[in-house]
Amino acid sequence: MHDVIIVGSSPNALAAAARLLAAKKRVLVLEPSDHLGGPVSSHEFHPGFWADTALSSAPLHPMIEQELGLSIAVLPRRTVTVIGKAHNASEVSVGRFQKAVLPAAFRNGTALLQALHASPVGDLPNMTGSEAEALSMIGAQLLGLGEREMMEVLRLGFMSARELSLELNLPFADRVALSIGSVYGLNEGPFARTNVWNYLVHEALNDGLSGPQVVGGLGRITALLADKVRSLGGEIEMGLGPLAVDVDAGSAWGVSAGDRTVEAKRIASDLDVQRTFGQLIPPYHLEPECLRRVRQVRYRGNVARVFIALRKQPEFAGVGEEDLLGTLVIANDVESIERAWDEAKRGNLPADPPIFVTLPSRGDPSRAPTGAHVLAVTVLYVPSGWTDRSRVKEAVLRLLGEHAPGIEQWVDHVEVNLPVDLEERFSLTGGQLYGGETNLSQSFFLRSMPGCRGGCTPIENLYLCGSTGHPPGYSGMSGWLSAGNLLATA
Amino acid sequence: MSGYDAIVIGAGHNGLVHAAYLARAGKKVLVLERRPVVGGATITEEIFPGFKFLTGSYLISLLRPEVIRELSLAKHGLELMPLESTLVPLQSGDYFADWPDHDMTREEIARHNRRDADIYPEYAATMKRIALWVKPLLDIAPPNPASNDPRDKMAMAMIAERLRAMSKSDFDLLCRLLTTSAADFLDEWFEGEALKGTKCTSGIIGTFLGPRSAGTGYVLLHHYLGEIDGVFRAWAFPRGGTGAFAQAVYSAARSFGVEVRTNAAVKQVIIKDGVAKGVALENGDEFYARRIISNADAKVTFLNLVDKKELSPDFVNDIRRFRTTSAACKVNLALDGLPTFTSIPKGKEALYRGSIEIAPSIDYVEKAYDDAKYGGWSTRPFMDALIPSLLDPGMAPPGKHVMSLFVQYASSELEGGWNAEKRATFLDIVIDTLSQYSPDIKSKILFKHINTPDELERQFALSSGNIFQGELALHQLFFLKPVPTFAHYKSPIKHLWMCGASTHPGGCITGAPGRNAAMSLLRDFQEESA
Ligand SMILES: Cc1cc2nc3c(=O)[nH]c(=O)nc-3n(C[C@H](O)[C@H](O)[C@H](O)COP(=O)(O)OP(=O)(O)OC[C@H]3O[C@@H](n4cnc5c(N)ncnc54)[C@H](O)[C@@H]3O)c2cc1C
Repeated sequence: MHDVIIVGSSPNALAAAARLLAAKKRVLVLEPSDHLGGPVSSHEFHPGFWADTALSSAPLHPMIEQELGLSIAVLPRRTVTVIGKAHNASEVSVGRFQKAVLPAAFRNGTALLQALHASPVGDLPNMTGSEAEALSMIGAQLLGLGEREMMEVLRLGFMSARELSLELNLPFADRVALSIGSVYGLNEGPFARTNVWNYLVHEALNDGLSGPQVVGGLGRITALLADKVRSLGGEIEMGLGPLAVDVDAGSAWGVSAGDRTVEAKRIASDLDVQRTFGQLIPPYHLEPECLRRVRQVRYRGNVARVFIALRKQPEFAGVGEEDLLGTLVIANDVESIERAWDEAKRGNLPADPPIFVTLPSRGDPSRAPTGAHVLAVTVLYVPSGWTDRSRVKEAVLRLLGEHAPGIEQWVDHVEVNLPVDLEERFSLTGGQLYGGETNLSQSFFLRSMPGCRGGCTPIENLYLCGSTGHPPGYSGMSGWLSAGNLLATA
Repeated sequence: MSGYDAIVIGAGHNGLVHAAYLARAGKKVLVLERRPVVGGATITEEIFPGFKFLTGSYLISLLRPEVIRELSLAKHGLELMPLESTLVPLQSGDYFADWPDHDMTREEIARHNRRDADIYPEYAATMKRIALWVKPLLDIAPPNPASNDPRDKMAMAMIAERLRAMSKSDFDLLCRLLTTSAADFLDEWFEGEALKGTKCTSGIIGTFLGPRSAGTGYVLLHHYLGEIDGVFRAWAFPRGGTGAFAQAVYSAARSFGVEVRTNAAVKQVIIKDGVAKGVALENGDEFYARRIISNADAKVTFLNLVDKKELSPDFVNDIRRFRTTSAACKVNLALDGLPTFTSIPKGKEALYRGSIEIAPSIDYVEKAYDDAKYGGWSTRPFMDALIPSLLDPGMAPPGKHVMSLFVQYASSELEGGWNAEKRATFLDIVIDTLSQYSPDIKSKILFKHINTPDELERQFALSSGNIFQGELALHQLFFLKPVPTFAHYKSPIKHLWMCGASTHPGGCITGAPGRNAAMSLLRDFQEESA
């Protein structure tokens, strides 16, 4: 019998597996699909052209990387260059996001979130001793900033990118980059409050606009982690098709794939809450109140990923060579971003969706045949149920054509991944890339859902270990913390 | 002229409440009001002969019961008439209604959506528990979490204690409600468009955000904290309008010996060696007192009435960034007779006596916001209408009526600025929208009046016309209100205090900022003499 079966294989699942293995547990990782890593994976979208499918960046947490003795080659953090028209301007301008000039509260807030992300979330307000201790250390870190800076940090996460831009009188490039970073992955516009929190979350995870690129593709992280798990004696099986967790009298005891059932003392699910309690486990095992909480988690994914195989390196007007190693944001002013959201919230594709673009082959030639390039485009505000691929493709090519004239003639192939495609491919409810929107209202002890802190669930012996929990993202930390919790209660 | 213990700048209801509490404790108090009348945004004005208009606030809910009791406001003429219903006319011609009577409301909800009716009692009970939990926080000066002062520490410990006493699920719900959007929150409970339409409006009142914007959950909670005669979440109309409420407080204040001067606009706070000593009026008069307390909003107080030299650049910046943008307008109509609302069926005429909300769905309200948020106004605004003359015949001549309309959204940052023509155009939009539900309204209008954000600013000295003296937003709430580290009614200038809606717990007719500030100030006096 296995000590723990983990369903799913994102870096969170594999980090959990590694931590459990290091504690001498017998671990089996079961992946329903025929690839490992969930959204942290790469695929060949055109012969010789590789794309990081769902995310442009998803670094492993440095502590986990170190604990597991892994060494993942990444390029330097990306610069962010914004291309677009400022409000009332007639000309397009190109500018660098000058993160360094943002007030200290941004850096302090990011550092605090990093500390929070690496600490088990207590069941506020009633925490166990060690949870309270962890939190009080973060409290001390906050108080250590001094009264004024502490207050500055506290107010930041409550604000909207728009009001903060106005308050700080940010120049065009900075306010656009801040807005895009704040609404990325949310079902909200830059005018809505608390979205700066989301910006800070991605800064803390280092997977936002400036998140670094992994040499060899995101799939490298998964491959290295999987090797580690195997070398520690863990077993990994994939391509199993739909899995079910077996539950008896409110307690999980095994996982079934078709006719085969494997028993284990504990089960950990890497899937989001909805999939865990809708697909892995029949809903009737949950109390109605709990089912209601499951349904309340919001997953309105609205990010599409478009990959373009280019025969030649593109040239964007006003954009320097070295900027192409970074991220290019193509969006007009904060108001236009909000207008795009106005369309999306009514189920329409915005005429000018904000996009951000990377050219992974620029820093890592292994991503495309010699001389050719991969352009990876993240499109915001594609409504979650949207199915018309060609309209998204047209919009992206038109936007690119405006700023990189003549680019169309170098296009060999375009692959569009809508939210529905990402949902299908990676079992992400609503195509939401983080297993649940990363708003303030779904953060910290309210993540994965109220009452499911630290990976615990209402089903005995069943844990959550994915991005759906705390912290969100694919740094491995959610799995790591959940494994710690599992070990503590074993 | 000296000998005053305190001078209060502004006779808004909070200024009057504040003065009354100080005088009740034996202090000698002078209140100075720039307008010819007291009440601030809590006022009844006869703009058209014989018709009493509510040019600012129109209903009372959040008024702290202890203010009524401790100042004996009933004795001074306050009479609250609980609102009997809320009617939401629907575009289909049907209507949705809501009464203080729980069972009637449930039946009505069931008429639209059975599932909603099933869950409604739980929703109501949950919101009540949450509100009961939050309420005591309205009555304290927010502690400073960074302070080592034993009083701050005790207050923080009290809050933590209360948090621990809350059930886990209520605590989670409170945290989510504070941080989410009104629409997302309501979607978790209900399906019916009309029900959600009317409920979401609590989340946007006075707030320049749509129901789908995060931040409106907190505003919704704020508007759930009221009670009238122990009835939770009830709203009431004071006989004589909200101005009559201000008059009751005024009368109470005078009975305690408060001296009030109108047409006495303060030009500047007199500061010597960093200490506030008195005030200078526009007309040159000067008055001195041991403490100066401003009822004006934080921006007016520190950007207009205090010499910038006396303040640190950080503090000035904090005040500047205090958000006051607004999109609320107030319309009043003098009517030749009662208008007809086509959706009110025969036998349900009592619904005319309640509030009539033009908010048929969340989408409607969201669209109204979208129209306005880029510096414009709603082509089909949200409005909350009331016919006060049905509740209090004294509000209009016999056979005639007045209608009060609270309207959103029209931006305080209107593209190109406001002027008379634009005010008239927006007023027409309001009336056109209304006539979709009440086709005969236009034929009954004798006189119409609108207060747009620029007018509210001009008349009531409210920055950007913000009806709450500053936006209700988490980043300027509790110990961050109005600005970080000055949330305890004090200011960086020694002996200069604040007591208006810019301070905790914020806007609405509550009396709480005035009362809380008085409690703190009285302690300050005590400590000084000790
Ligand atoms: C259109 C509108 C509708 C509203 N509807 C409602 C409602 O239905 N229910 C509700 O509960 N709340 C409502 N409110 C909000 C509520 O009216 C306010 O929050 C409340 O009145 C604030 O009271 P206050 O005493 O703190 O400040 P204010 O009422 O703003 O009073 C401040 C006073 O200071 C005076 N002042 C300013 N500067 C000077 C100076 N230099 N010298 C002397 N005096 C000065 C002003 O003239 C004013 O009288 C509404 C507000 C508006 C504008």
